[in-house]
Amino acid sequence: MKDINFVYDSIIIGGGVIGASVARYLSRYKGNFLVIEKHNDCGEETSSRNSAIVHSGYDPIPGTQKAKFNVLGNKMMGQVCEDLNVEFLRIGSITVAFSKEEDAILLSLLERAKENNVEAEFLTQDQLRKIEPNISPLATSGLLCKSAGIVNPFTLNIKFMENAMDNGVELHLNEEVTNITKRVDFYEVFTNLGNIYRTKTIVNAAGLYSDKVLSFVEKPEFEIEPRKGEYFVLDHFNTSFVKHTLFMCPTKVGKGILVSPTTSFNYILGPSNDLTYKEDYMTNTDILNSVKEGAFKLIPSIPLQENIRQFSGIRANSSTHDFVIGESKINKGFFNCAAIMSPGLASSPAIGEYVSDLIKNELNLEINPNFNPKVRKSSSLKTLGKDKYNELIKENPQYGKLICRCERVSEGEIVDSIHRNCGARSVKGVKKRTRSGFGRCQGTFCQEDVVKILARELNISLDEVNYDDLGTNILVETRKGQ
Amino acid sequence: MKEFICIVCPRGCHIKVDGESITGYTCKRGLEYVKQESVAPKRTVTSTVKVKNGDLRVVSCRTTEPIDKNKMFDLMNIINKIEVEAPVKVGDVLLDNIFDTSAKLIATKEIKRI
Amino acid sequence: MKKVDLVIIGGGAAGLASALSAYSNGVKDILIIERGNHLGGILNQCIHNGFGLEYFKEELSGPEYADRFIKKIEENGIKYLLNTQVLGIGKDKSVTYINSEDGFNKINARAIIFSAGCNERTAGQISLPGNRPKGVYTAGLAQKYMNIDGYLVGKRVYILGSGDIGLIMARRMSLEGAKVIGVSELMPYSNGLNRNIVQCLNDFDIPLRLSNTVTKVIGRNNLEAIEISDVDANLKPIKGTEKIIECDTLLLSIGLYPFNALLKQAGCEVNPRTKGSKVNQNLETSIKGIYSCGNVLHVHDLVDFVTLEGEKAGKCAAYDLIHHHKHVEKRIVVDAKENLNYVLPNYIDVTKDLNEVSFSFRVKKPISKGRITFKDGDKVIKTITKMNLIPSEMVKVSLNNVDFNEIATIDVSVEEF
Repeated sequence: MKDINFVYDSIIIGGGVIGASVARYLSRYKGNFLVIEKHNDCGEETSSRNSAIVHSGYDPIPGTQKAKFNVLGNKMMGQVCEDLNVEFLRIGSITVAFSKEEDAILLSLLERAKENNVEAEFLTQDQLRKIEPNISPLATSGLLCKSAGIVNPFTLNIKFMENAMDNGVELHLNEEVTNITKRVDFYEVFTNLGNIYRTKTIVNAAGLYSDKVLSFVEKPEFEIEPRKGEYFVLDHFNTSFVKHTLFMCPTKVGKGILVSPTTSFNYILGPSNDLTYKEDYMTNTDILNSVKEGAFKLIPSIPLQENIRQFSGIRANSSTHDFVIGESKINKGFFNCAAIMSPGLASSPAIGEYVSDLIKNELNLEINPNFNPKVRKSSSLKTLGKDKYNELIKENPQYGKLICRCERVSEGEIVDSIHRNCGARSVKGVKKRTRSGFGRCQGTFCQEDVVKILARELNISLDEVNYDDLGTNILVETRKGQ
Repeated sequence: MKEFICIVCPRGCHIKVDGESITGYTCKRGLEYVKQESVAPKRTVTSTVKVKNGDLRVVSCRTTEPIDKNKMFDLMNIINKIEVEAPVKVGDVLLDNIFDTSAKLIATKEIKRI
Repeated sequence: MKKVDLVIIGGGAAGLASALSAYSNGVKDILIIERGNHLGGILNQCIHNGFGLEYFKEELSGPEYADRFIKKIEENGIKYLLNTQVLGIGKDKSVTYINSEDGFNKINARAIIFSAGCNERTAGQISLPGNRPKGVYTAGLAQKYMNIDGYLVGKRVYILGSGDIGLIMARRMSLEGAKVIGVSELMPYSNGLNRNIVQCLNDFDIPLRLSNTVTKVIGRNNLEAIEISDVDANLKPIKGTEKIIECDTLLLSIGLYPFNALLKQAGCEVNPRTKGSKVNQNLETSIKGIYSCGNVLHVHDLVDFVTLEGEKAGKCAAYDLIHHHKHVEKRIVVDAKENLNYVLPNYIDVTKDLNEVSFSFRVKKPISKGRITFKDGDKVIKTITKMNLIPSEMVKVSLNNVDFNEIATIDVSVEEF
């Protein structure tokens, strides 16, 4: 426990992809940094419930924070994912038109892309059909952005945090900030565990609750207007029916339904776009049917029988329609990374770098000479060649025992995912890090093994293993032998 | 008249009992079942028993004969108190003379000692 | 590369039976590959009784049933690998697997029997609406936790689907102290065996709601309640019939499907009706020398029939290995018509001495008086009458004393009369 008078250089509220990115970039500097996350893992809400697209940045209105950070974040993503050992594929995106009016919209978006300094290319119907043979014959044209990509959103978030912790950042899970008070030289941060932390600066990366966190110190000039998106996930299978991320031509309502491969070679269809309240993650048959319709409009032959899961995410949309990034005008040392909606994932490295530098300048932080931008690489069946993997099995036989047969995840990978900084603490934590349980059987075969591995590695009993947050214990004792 | 669905085998014959007249059964075991069922129903109970020092925490078990249906939960209360020491072999008797009948509770799985 | 005469993938009921049968029919160089840490497969967690009535003429629990075969495997010294996952099967009958001892390894088989079993359908596959909290499990996973590990998954349980595993779990969880509130079945009839409705639901006063389904899963972190609704004739929920039921556990017993991915990847033709492979009357797939049996071929109702099918696969594989394949004169395509979900085999490879073919199928809906008809075009080959046909039971019938050379195609249908 730190002394009551200890003052952090910065406390980051929220361990989503933005908070974790800020933490990671802050760890380039010397200082005492703490991330406070209310869930049992990082990235439990919007950061892990989205389309997993690294947008090119052609679409945001020029001059907005969205345009600035998206374009920059997209450029940084390749190096970031290499350093952090995260799956990232620059597959390109195509925005698809279905009428003369939409053709015209695409041409105006081409102009916007130029203003945003994003390379884009108009595709005629023939060109479009040539590169996406399964696209609807009713599609009339497309706008190709080759710089767009897809990323593993789960590990991007987790590896940002792991790397931050490797470089000295502290993480408190299962702790929720309940109030903030400004003192003369520092802020006091109160939590639900009765802790009071002192800090020189605060980073508000509280996602859906970023308006609430800001309201602890001032009246926010924006309001989060949560909008829900529902998705389908299709299994991976031999033949790919779409190579790029396909968007519908945007309308006033939003970006519309997309169809895209994922970095694990699944396919994602969605999202819908409906007003909601902050904790409503339910999926609805009617809304999912509208997602289906949209997906069929893009790709009439879409193999929906391969559907293995549906999920929803909630966008932290702002009443101001833009990200709120930077230091509060009223409260010095209070930095907002608020209202991060789409394209937040794509923007995350740029936001992290920018905000960490604002803090560095304010506090005159020195460079951390020991900063290592790379995480220790994981070894998996997919990334290592056969011979190297065989050597690994000789060293550690756990890598020869396959736990998840759908996604081919070994016991060794699961154990490794537990014993890292920001390691897995729950069945879902293991799933997000290793993909064990993400496949067609949805964990019906591997969940029991994962529970046993978690119990053994965390030195707890089986009925203490949580599915996700604290209090989601999977198993209950029977009356036997009692 | 009362109708029973036979549980002796998966065929699930519909057997009708009307006083002395029994119709709809297709085998001798079915006839015996329905005679018993219409007077005093009996069931085989399967469960698990706690194991000490075994490669599994529990060993599966069953009664060797059906017991009175209305005593199933009484038997469960007894089963829940039993604890055996590994190793356990298939057929090991875990409980004898259940409710003073010839029914026994036997282990149905091998448990190795660790 | 190491060579083996016969590789059997999956050491459950089908695999064990096929190994023993191939062995007694003269093939001694056999290797069983099992992913679990024990032979016997899913039988190890099916601790209820009711196994073996057909095969052993006595009533056993799942582990005892498996044990009888495992003992014979040991007695005969048939080799097996545990904790070993097959990663790929080649058209050339190569088998790639991984385990802790051998690492990645590839062996060449002269014949392969694929007996990898089936999977349970999940909430995702039926697009179950609502939240995804802790507390929603397939019945088989809950069964494993309870019968192998000795833990319950909850205390107030609702069950969606009247498949047999769900019914069996209703009884098991009741006996172990949980309250099972009810079972909803989408169809207007039960998908489980009648005997299980009687001894697993009726015995414990657990209501079965037919034409009813779960329309909402409620609870952010933990399951708190479900919403159920009646469904109309098109299986669509009827507005106004919603009912909220508080529970901490929802078990899904909504069907099984063959875990056939490896054969599909190998290039074996898939039967779209069963999702298993297409096979001839010898259980041979479209790749010569690769056979399929048990629940990975089509989901069975009784393990005894799985065993019999495994034995047949073992015997056929052994015959083909020792005597080479018989000359096939022609191929008859078999098709499932009216009221049938599917029929096996998918085709008959007619050889000189062929005089009997047995067929397995399931009906689409309950039929109290069924007339089963085998037709070659308009010509009736044979009719058989059977009473009380239900979708949850597999029907087995044979064609014998028929000149298969005279038949072009076979359509199988059932009608109510």
